[in-house]
Amino acid sequence: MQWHGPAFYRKKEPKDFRSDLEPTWCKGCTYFSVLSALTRTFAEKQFDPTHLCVVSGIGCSSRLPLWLNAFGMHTLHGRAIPIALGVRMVQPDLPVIVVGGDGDLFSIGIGHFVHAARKNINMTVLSLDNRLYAMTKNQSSPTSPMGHHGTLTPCGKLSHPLNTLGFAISCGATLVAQTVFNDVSHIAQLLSRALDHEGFSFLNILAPCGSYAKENIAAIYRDKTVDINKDIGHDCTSKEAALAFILSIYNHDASNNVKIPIGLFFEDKSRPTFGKQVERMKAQYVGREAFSIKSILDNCEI
Amino acid sequence: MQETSIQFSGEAGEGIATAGDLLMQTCAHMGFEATCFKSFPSNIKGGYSSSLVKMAEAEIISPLSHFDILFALNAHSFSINRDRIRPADVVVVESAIMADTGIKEQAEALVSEQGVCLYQVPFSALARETLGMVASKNMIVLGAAAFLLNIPLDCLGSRIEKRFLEKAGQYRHALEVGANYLKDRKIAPSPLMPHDGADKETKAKRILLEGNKAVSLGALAAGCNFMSLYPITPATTIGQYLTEPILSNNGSTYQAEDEIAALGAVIGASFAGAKSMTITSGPGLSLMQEMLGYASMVELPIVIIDVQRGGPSTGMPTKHDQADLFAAAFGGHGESQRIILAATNVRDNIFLTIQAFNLSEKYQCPVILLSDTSLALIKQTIEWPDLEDVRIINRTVFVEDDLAAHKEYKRYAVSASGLNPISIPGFSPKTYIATSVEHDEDSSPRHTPEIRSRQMAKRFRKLDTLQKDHADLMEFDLEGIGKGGKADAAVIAWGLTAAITKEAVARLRKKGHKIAALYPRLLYPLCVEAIKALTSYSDRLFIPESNYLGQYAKLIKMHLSVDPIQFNISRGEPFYPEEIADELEAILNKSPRGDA
Repeated sequence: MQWHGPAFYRKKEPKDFRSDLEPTWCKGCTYFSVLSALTRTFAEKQFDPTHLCVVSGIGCSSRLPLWLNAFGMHTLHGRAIPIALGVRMVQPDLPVIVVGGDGDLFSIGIGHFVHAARKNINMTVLSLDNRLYAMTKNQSSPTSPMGHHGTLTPCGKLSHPLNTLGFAISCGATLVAQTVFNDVSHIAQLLSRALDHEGFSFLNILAPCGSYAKENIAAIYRDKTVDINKDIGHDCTSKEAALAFILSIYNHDASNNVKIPIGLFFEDKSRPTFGKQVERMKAQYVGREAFSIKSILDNCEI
Repeated sequence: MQETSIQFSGEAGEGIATAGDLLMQTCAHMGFEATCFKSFPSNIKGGYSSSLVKMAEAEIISPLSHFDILFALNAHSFSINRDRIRPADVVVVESAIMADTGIKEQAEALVSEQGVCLYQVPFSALARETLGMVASKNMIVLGAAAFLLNIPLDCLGSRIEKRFLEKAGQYRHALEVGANYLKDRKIAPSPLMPHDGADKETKAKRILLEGNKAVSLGALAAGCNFMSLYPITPATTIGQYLTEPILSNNGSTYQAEDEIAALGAVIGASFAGAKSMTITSGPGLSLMQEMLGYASMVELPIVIIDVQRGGPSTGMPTKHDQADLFAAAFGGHGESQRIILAATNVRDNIFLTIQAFNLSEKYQCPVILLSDTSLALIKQTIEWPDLEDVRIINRTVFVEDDLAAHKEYKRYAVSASGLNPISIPGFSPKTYIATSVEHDEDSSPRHTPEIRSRQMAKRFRKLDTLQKDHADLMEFDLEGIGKGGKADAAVIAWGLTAAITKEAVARLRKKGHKIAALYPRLLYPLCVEAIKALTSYSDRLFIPESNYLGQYAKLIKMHLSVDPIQFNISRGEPFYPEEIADELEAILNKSPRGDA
């Protein structure tokens, strides 16, 4: 489908990507910086709002598309990925971004994450990881640390958190990165890279909840992190190196007096996207008379 | 109603289905109308399998009926069909089963007490001894069947050549073995099918079509360019038939990780402007319910084909049931808008699939077409369908030119019809958010009592004109009853049961009963006016349904103060016309005229 909308002569500013709606997030929510990073990146790339689609599930973070000026789908809890995939398959040139929380993406929706990553569907998945369910007023999520006190875990969470970065790489995501809420430039930088990436890109944004885990905000802060690309010189082209590195730091929060690693963990540019393969397959079929209605009827003729 | 029916029954995997298929194809090529109804177990191999082939000079209304000739290839096949054998039927059994004294006694009783023609043929031994392989047993059976039906082996032979190429010679020989076995024993062919043996070419152009393939043709004719599904019996073959044609039309198909994702992808594709569809059966429909509510809430056109099977839970994956009406109409939380259609025969599967797309695009809501296991597999000769000039409805898209008239784009404006143009990403000049939460006209999330009330009314109002605009989806049959006249009974039947009921009604009319019938293809929202019109012919409303509760009858009772006489079966097999005729006749005879 060819877009033939109005020409945009004026250079677009970040505010051109904001809707008129006032965000309903709590005052001081760490998600505001993600919203800023998104609009900043969209402006940087001079995206066209009518040629951009942001799909989310349900939860605090999933409200994000409502605050944007772009086509958006605010869908069901855990189901953003398959819906975004449908958009992507019909319009392969449209940038498609999925926004979800850790509960949305890694509890109820984890089954979809696995397959979209495995198939290398060309989309950017942003996990706004606040490590708990905030909208339902503080329950443990798959990324909450062990011992987390939620309303349904009176003696603390009894299980280990999911290693989302390692999980994403294992599933087959071809770009995996992590960043932290209070460095808008770093978020924008990785977001830009993820949007440029052809394939399934996963960006985990550590964004603690100020309402139910205030103490995390101090603990998960830019100054408690280490940039693995700048400061450590991590090799992001090797899957093995990335996995080994992630496993070695799994569950190491600032509480362990170990810095939280942020940056690009892994990128594989060689694997073809699902969409590319579909296009290749289609090329074998398009216009083939053998599959026309008439041919099908002819084959059924008595 | 000069029809002949022949049923092959035996162990699944023995080629029963192939024998039925070949016989039906041969009959079709000889110029007859033919149908083939298959029933098989939910295993890859083994279990009871049967294939009922009907042939006639004129159109066959019900693909199900009693058999005139039964082939029972094992003891179980004989036992379970024994009570259905009528006097003067021809029954051909595998000789080996007569070694069982119980079966032998039963078989002899059929001959002596009911005058049944019983022939014993050692099919397995013949296959082993004369051909050295058991695999071609079904061809020996087919040869015997051809002999009994007086079908020249050459007619069958040409079908076999077309299908089997290399093995054709061997199979041709097997046909002769079967035919000669009966011939050598001076058995006379049955006089049921007189013909000259030559292919008839005077008939109008026809095709031989399977129910599931018919759905795929309808989808293509409607312009479906996105399909996503999760494999499920008995729906999967629709996806198989559609995949390559959709790709050749530059569309896309996607095998999803589950039914939730399948419908999700379909909704995303519809948002992006595609005519999209998913195909499923009961368990899939259950998983899709939340997603179905989302499609209703954001008012996107989507089509779901539900090839019903026996439920609940895993139920009977390969068995017949028509019990998903409630799930289709009311499944899921809250109250959402859907249109439910049901196909009565193979031809309907083509044209109702087209209608499903048209209605979803027109009313901007999900449309579910109910088919079923039996219909999925039924093959039927039908007139060549004209798919070039079908009426196609496409959604109204918000375009550049609309900007002049509308300063603002409000996707969910409370318009008189409840409908608004749809903005498409990458195409339309204005964006919007398709949000699952209750929203205002501009899709901002708001749920004040006023906004909620207005939006609910707006969404439901969309369907106000449905009944009036699509009266053709309610088929009335008032044969022998003048306008304003009175009938002895009113009958409603839907789905495949409608086709079977039509034959039952025809039989009763021949006996002089006056019956007013309604065969709805639009099931929900319920067409109250049509049902009121029908009941004006008789207070006695009879509704046979292939589900335990009588779901359509209950739906009617929700809307109207009528008390239908229900005749429900839920046994994994469809009705036979005889059963419906007998049941209705008994009701009519209890009090011949007037109120029951």
